[in-house]
Amino acid sequence: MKVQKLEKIKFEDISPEVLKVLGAHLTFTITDTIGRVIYANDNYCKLIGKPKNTILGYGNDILKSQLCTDKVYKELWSAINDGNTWKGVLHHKSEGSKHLWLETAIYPMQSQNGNQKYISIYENITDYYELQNISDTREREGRVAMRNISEITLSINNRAKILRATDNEINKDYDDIVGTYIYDFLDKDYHDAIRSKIKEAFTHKIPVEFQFASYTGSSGSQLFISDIEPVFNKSGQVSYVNVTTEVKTKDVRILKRLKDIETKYKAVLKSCEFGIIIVTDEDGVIKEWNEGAHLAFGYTESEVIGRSLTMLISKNHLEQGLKELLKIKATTGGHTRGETTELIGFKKNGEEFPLELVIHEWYCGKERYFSTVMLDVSKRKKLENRLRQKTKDLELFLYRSAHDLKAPITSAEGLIELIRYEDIDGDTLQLIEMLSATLNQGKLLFDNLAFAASISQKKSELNIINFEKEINRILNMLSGLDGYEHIDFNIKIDQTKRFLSNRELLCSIFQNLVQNAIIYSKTPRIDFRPKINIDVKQMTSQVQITVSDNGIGINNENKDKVFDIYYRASNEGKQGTGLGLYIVKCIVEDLQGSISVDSQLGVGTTFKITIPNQKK
Amino acid sequence: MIRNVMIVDDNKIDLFVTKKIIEKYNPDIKTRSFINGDSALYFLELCQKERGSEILAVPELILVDINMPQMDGFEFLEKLEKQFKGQSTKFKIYMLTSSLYAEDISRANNNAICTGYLCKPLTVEKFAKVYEKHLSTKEYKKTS
Repeated sequence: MKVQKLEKIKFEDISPEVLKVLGAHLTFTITDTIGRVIYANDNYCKLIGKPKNTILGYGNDILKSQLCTDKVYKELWSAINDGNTWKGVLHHKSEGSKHLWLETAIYPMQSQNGNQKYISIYENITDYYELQNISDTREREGRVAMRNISEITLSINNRAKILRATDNEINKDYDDIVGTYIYDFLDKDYHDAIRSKIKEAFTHKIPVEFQFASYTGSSGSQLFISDIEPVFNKSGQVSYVNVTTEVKTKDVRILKRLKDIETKYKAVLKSCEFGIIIVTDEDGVIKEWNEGAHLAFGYTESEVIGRSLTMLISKNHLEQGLKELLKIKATTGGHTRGETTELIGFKKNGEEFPLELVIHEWYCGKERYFSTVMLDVSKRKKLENRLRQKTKDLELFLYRSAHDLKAPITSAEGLIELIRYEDIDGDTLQLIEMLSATLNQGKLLFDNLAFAASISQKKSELNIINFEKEINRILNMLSGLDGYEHIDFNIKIDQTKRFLSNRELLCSIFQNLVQNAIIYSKTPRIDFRPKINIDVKQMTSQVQITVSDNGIGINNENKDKVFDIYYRASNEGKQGTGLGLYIVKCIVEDLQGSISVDSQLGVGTTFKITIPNQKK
Repeated sequence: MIRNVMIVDDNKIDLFVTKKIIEKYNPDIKTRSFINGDSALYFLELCQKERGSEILAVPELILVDINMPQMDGFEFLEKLEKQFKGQSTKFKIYMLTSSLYAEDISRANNNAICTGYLCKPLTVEKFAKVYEKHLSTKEYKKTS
């Protein structure tokens, strides 16, 4: 507040007697042009709580308080520099952290040698001011004394609106600040951080801690820690959160402990050679760089700190890499659990290598940071590729071998065909038949092997499956098997929608399961008819296939072995190759379905399969 | 009427079996066996030059094995096509294969000059089907 210019008072005009008389009733100081106290009365010393000798000659503390907004000081200094009187409320924090609010009037005075002097008269209005200032906080812009709510529990909703404010000790409500937002009490720089914390407390339903600094007085910045604790309603939802705030820096032990913790974690981070750990700020500027990162990329710490993370991404993959990183940045909190991103890294020596990384977002006070943990996956990638190639080679080898091994069997079959035209007796003919059956068995084995080797290649080809048509075709194909004519087939097909899959593979499943059910059926008697049930039920995204029989069943201990390659339940004249169920399992796995078997010896077997619909 | 059949197969046993089966079906049919594609092509070249010769009778049917070293059945088809410059459709050509190799089957089906394929071993029944199919069509129209 600017006050009308008074008549110039000369400093020398004031006699010491006058000062003494005034001093008995007022609280005042006289300061020089640069703000040093050249006179302070006893009332002042008492108010400030300092002996006179530590006041005189030093700067006037009252003019420095950080709690008063810059605007107040600007106004003050511009007024008195122009030779005007200034009146207003100043804040001072005395020894022992007592807050003082002083109504102050500053009058400029001319001294003999032309030096400007100021007489400042103070009135302690702290009691009155403290009563008022909680409601005042709303009006004050920018930095507001957080200390005012430090003893108060604030209940806030998910948009940080204050629903209730209670002083725990004296059980008093502060209705004045209800309806304001917690942001009003915080430095603007912290708004994003606390928003994220509040969101965390609401969504994860866990208490979180929030740290911030605030200027509370002449002692400068202080550290505050707020506990944000969710309060649940009856249905387990977070209805609001309670925020309690404590001043922390006062406690030297805590500071020391924090320092210890920092040292410890820094050491762990720096020395870690195995994983690549990089910390960046919000803009991707590298802030921390560990030994693992040095070993992997070749850059020393001093070469990368302060530079952009993008320098570590291969130029050829930069666009894609940046897109990935920005995508992560846009999500709150970084990667969710179990998620990773793959990038192509770029070393100092120009080499490229594959990286797998996880990014987490965190706040230190108001600053947003990202910590990135990377793994050099070039070894794994190389092994993966080799494994893939080897698998392919092996499948091809098996496929070709099965085919080529069939050639001599085919030749032998041709010869047998010719022998049948020769003049041979019954015994020889019988031998020929047995030889023919043996060769057939071998051919079947090779055919199955070749088929098994080609499953993964076939699955990419998609057809529209008509289950009814395919099942009838398969039954027709199997009708030549021994015992087929005695079996009661019960087929139930529930297909209304289009089903896409590989026809050959799907048919192979049916063929193998039904063939097994026929081969391992029990001999019919007067009171027993062998049965095979085929049940196909299509749902939107998958089909459920059940093939059950009342055949000889499987011993419970062998239940898990039936899908093993070359496993055969019995050899008693049954014509299996030991590949049928192995093929079924391979197909189901390749089509990303599932298969289970339920069986009881002597009672029957049930296979349950689900296969996803491969619609695009 | 098919009177002359050419068989190309690197496997001598298979060659023997195929020849014998054709003889069993009809002893009047003359068969000529070749153990590789080159000698078969050379023979066809000679036939073309000496048209009408009793010994060098042009075969109406060619049975060729797919899986042969040096020149496989499909390469044989290519060279035959080149040698006869589009005239190769006057032969009925069947591929012989020892198994239902899906890739071979689709290649055989998609080949313009290949009439069909036969699974080894050849039997009298299988040969009879082929023979009767083409016996009725004296004009050698592409039937596939």
